[in-house]
Parts: sequence; structure tokens; C-alpha cells
Amino acid sequence: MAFMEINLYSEVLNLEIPVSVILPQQPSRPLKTVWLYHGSTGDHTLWARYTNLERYVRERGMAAIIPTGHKSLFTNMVHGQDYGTFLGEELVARMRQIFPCLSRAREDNYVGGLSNGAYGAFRVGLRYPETFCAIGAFSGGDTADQYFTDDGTYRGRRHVLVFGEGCPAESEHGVKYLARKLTKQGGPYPRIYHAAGELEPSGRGDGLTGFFKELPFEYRFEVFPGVGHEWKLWDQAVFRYIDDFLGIKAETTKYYV
Amino acid sequence: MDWIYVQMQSESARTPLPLDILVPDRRFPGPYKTVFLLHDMAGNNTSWMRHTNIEERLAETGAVLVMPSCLNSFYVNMYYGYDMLDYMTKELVQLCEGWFRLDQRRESRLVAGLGMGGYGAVRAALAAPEVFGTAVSLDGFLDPGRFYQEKLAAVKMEDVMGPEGYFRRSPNNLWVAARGLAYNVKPEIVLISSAKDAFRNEAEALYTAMTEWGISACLKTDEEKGLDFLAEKVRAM
Repeated sequence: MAFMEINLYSEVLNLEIPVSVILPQQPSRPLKTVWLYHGSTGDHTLWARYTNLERYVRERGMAAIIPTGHKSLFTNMVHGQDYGTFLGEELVARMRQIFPCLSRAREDNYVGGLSNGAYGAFRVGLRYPETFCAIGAFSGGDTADQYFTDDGTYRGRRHVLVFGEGCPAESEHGVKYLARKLTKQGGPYPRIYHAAGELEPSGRGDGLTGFFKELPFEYRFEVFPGVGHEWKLWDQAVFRYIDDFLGIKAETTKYYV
Repeated sequence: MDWIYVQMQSESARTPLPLDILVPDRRFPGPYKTVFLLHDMAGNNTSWMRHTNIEERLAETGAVLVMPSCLNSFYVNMYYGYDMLDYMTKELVQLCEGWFRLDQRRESRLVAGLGMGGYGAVRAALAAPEVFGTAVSLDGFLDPGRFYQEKLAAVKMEDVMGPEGYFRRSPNNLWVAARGLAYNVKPEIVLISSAKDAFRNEAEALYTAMTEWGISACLKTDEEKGLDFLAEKVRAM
């Protein structure tokens, strides 16, 4: 496999953005691609550093693309830039322009993320359902379904930068809002894999667990025993997402190339 | 341009090797011409980007720039060591063509290098003229045989090229490779010699020999103009 770090100029953000890309060295067919988002303190390097992701995609002859989303929560910030547009439109188009070996087919493209990146995966996946056929959300939910105010704390201020003052649930930031909107449109519906650790609060299910069962989405919620909000969970969850939920099985056990 | 750092496993060299690649910005849809930029002795994939403004100079040419790391191998299949000529002329080209939308005509591929990389560029084009349309040597070490006498720090020529007598008769000697070029297609060889030093004499001698043997060669000797010549050549591809 080739492990690449790309410094990509984004016109939407007017910024150089680092992106990690894992690609087979000799792609022999259009590559299935998993697009993965980091958590709120993370960046594009962490999925590769803390999980076995490269091994999982190598065994399956597929690609992984891991952008940096900074502190945007992967949405279009109220006081900031349009990271949602960058991730759902520009990044996808530019990656496919640079790497024509990436599949453009909806059924070959899957978004995923952990913690705030799980919210990002929901948000981007539901906003661009014609691009992604599946959403893998690990340890996260509808972050936008809260009341935000700049109460002087770091957390308050950071969320106000993204969502503004008030509750953005009934806007393009809202996971449930986007899901209902998509239902009204009649799809296309991304398949949803929602995972949490037993030892974290969302391990008992959150507002989305019941919500999606009422809508025409394929939705699976899975709790991993004995783990909390940690890489031990996310390594298992991303494997489960790719291998079991998406059904992409290993084709080789060759340990190099 | 967008900058890509790649860590990959070379099957020919049987070792992981890093690469730096610059791809044209979105205004250029491809297929792209390809410029392979080879580093000097003691350099690596980062040398061209760190020591020149190559991105600035070539950004408007619409070419993909590929900067491999070939250690101190002189880009040959080493007598004791890595098969870097196979990596350069076969594997690296195939890898890049698998990943990117490249123009696969030989005239759309140029290989250029500095010092040891200048030698490597000419060696690669003479070994695989069906792959590389043009080679540009910037102050290349065109006769590495000199290093059997002038010892190099940390590089044993015997390990790279074999015993001196063997090297003199082998195609790693550019004079042997040029004279023996049997292909119908012959590469264009540009020898740039920016300093009046011993390497200038080698460039002049190789230029004369190549011209005599029907290889399209040119010799540029303007001081400090090397990268301008290279940029002009890439633009005109």
C-alpha cells in the first residue's frame, strides 16, 4: 500500500489542508473508498496512527481518505468557513481528479467518523446522499441538537463558533433535520452503522437510536462491551463497519505491498 | 500545485521508499506530462523542494513532478545493493500511471537530475528510451569512473558499479550505453554544465560522442541558467 500525505489547496476554505490517503500500489479496478473524519481534538494523522486501518484497507484492495476538519465539526461554520461544502463537494471532486483510480460510484463510497467526526459523518452523509451510500458513526450523534451559548467556557465558545447562539437542530446542521428532509425527498437513503462503547454515555443509546427506526433508513446500532470513548473502540468499530456492515471482505493476507 | 508525500514499498528495490509528488492545480485536468526529478548524492526525495523553487518555476507547465529517493545508488542496478534502475525505469513509472492521469507517450516524460541525479537521468533515458523522451542533466557526474580514484565519502564505487574494469565495459558507463543504443527511438539528451570545472569536460566529451553516434544531444553552458533551461524544456513538451 502507498501511504500518502497530501497538502491540498482548498478554494472553498482558501487554505492548504492536509489529507492522508491510503491507496493500493497497483489499483486494478475503481477503488472503493472510505472517507474518515477525526474527533474534535484530532487531525488527519490519527486514524492511521491509532488503528489498524491501513491493514484493513490493504487486505480489501480499497482506499481510505482522511482529511483534517480542524474545529469545524465538519459542517459549514456560522463563524468560520464552509468545511461541510469542502468535505462533501470539493474534496471528493479534487481527490477524484488527482486519483482517477477512485470509484465515482455511490455504492463504492462510505463516510465515517469518530466522536465529533461521527456527527460529521452523519452531517456530510445525509447532506450528500448521492455521493455516499453509507455512514459509519462511532461514538457520536446529533451534536447540533443542543442549545449553545457563549458562556465563557472553551466548550461554549467553540460550539458557538460552529453553530451560532441558540439551537441549530432544525437547520442544515441538524442530523434529524437532514434525515427528515431526505425522507420527504424520498432518498436516496445512506445505510447507517452507529456504534458506541459500553462505558461511554452514548453506549446506552442516544436520541438517534429510536429516531432512525421510525424512518426508512437501514440503521444498525451496536454497543461494544468493555470499552469507552477510546481508540480501542474505534479500531474495532471501523473494522466492523467495513467488514461486516458494508460486507467488504479481505481478499489477501499478503503482509507487504 | 498540490503536494503529496508518499511512503510505498518498492518491489524492485525490495524496500520501502519515500516519494514527493507535486500535481498541477485543478485548472489542469490532465492527462499530465511527467517530470521525474532526481536528487544528488547525499540527497533524497525532499532535496528538490528544499533547495530549489521548482514548484514555483513549473506550476504553470501543467506537469506532474515526481521526486523519488534512490539513496546513493547512482540510480543503477547496484553491483551490491538495490536495483534502482529497474525501480526508476519500470516500477516508478507504472506506479505513477496507476495513481494519476498521466500522458503515456514517451515525449511527455522527462527525467532530470542534479549531480548524481544528472547521471541517473541520462542513464535512465539511455536504458529506457521507450519510456523517457528527454533527459536533462544539471551538472551531472557523467563519468562516475572518476570516483574510483577520487574517493567519495560513504560511497564505495565498487559496491555501486562493480570493479573498475567491469564498470568501464558496462552500460553504466554512459559512453558504452550511448554507443550501444540499439533502439529506433532515441532520447533527447540535454547536458547542462553551469560551472567551468572538471565536470564541464565530461559534459563536452559526452556531448561530442553522442552527437557523433546519432543521439540528439545539446550542451548548455550558461552560468546559473540550469533551472531556466529545464523549465523551458518542460513548457515546450
